[in-house]
Amino acid sequence: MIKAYIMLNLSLGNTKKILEEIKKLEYIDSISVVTGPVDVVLTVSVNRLEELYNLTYEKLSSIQGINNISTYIVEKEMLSEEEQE
Amino acid sequence: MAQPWLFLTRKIKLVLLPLISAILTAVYVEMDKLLLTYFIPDEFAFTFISLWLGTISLIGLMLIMITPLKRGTYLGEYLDPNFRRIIIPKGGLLYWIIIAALAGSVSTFTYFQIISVSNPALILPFSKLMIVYLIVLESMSDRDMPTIIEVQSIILILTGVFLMAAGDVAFNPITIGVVLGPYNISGVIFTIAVRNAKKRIYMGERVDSINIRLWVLTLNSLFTTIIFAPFIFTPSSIGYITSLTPLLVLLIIIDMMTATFASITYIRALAVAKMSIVNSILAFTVILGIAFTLIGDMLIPGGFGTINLTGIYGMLTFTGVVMITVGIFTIATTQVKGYLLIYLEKNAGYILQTVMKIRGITRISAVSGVNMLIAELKIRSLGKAYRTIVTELEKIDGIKKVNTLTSIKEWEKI
Repeated sequence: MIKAYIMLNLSLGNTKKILEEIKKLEYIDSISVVTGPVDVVLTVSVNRLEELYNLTYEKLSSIQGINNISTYIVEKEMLSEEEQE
Repeated sequence: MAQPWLFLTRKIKLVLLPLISAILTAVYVEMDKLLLTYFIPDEFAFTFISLWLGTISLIGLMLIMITPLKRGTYLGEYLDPNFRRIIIPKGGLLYWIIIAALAGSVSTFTYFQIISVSNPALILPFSKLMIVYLIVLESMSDRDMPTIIEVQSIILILTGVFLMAAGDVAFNPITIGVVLGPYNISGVIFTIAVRNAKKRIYMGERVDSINIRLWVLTLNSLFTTIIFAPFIFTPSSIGYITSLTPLLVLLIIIDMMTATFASITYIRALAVAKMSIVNSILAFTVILGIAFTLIGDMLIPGGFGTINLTGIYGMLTFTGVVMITVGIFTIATTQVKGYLLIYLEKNAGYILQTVMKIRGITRISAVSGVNMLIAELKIRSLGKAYRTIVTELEKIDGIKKVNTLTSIKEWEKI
């Protein structure tokens, strides 16, 4: 399982419509609308890098109003005691 | 079509899941009382029959839940988005399920003892003292101190609950003792165990509440049967067990399915919020218990017990309802979630473990692309965020810059 964070910058006035489009996509574990340098943080889990490619370069890129997509693949992850396996 | 878990935001789930559980709990408690009063007036036989019919009907429900829908989704995902298949628990998951089942055995057994001698609407408030035990336990954990707003809300809810319980002065002290002692303590252990089970990861996914309910109920039935066998297998109890009519079986299955759905929503809620908060919202059961007792009493006079709502008792009950409602809605608005983008100096990979020790950080990831860590923060006030970021992160050498992304709306697969 490959995990990644995808950070999006949106154009003003389209947030609601873009979120509705994002909600239709596969592989997404959470969607957060945030304050700060980016507008939306997605956490995703895919089985292969090709699925991540499809999600970012084909699905997200085709949504009108998303200005910038930054993808960060998780190389190492640590969970708090509460969240641990 | 969006996936089922995307219909509601995290904050709405935080209130809605315990509220649904509260409604279902109030329904099955009243049904239990009715069945015990009119159909099986033997609490040992009733415990045995309910548990095993509940287990069998839950296995039937699981077979329906694994029905595949289009695009590799399953019907069960509408009950819990983490549901995929029936799983066989092992390791840590099995450990917590066994603990939950043992606590559940004590809790179930004392519960049926209590409602066989008391009016549920009057005894339910005392079961909410469990919230105090949970707050004490959570406060003892260094990472999880409650906020002032949470303490205020919980005090508001508990005061409301006890005001509502003041409607009857003829309490049975032994029953109250059983509620405050074995019933509440086993309830606390059960809550901790199912929460820990729900937090576990199984084949890359969080464990779902349907599987937890299945295994906890199955083992609970087994343990209760073994531990309380001398009380269950008496000639009187066996008489009731062997003379079940199809109508009675159907009524008990409906009763236990209601309990199952109450349990599933409760377990899901435990993954969203602290145990004390979930149980505080669940205090809504106390309001519903009174409403359902009054409705039930109109349909079957005396079947559900009686409640005094005249004069001062009516005033106290009304005040209690207001306090509980205000407390529940206050508590739901305090949670804060966010992400920290922690930019590092070169060769500062060791920071991963240091940052993980900071209170409120639940997950930290080293990512590709830039020299950065992404930390997930779950805290219950912005004041605590200040302490995390300013007083703790700033002390760590090797951090160049921190960007804080506060979540203002969120959908999470819980």
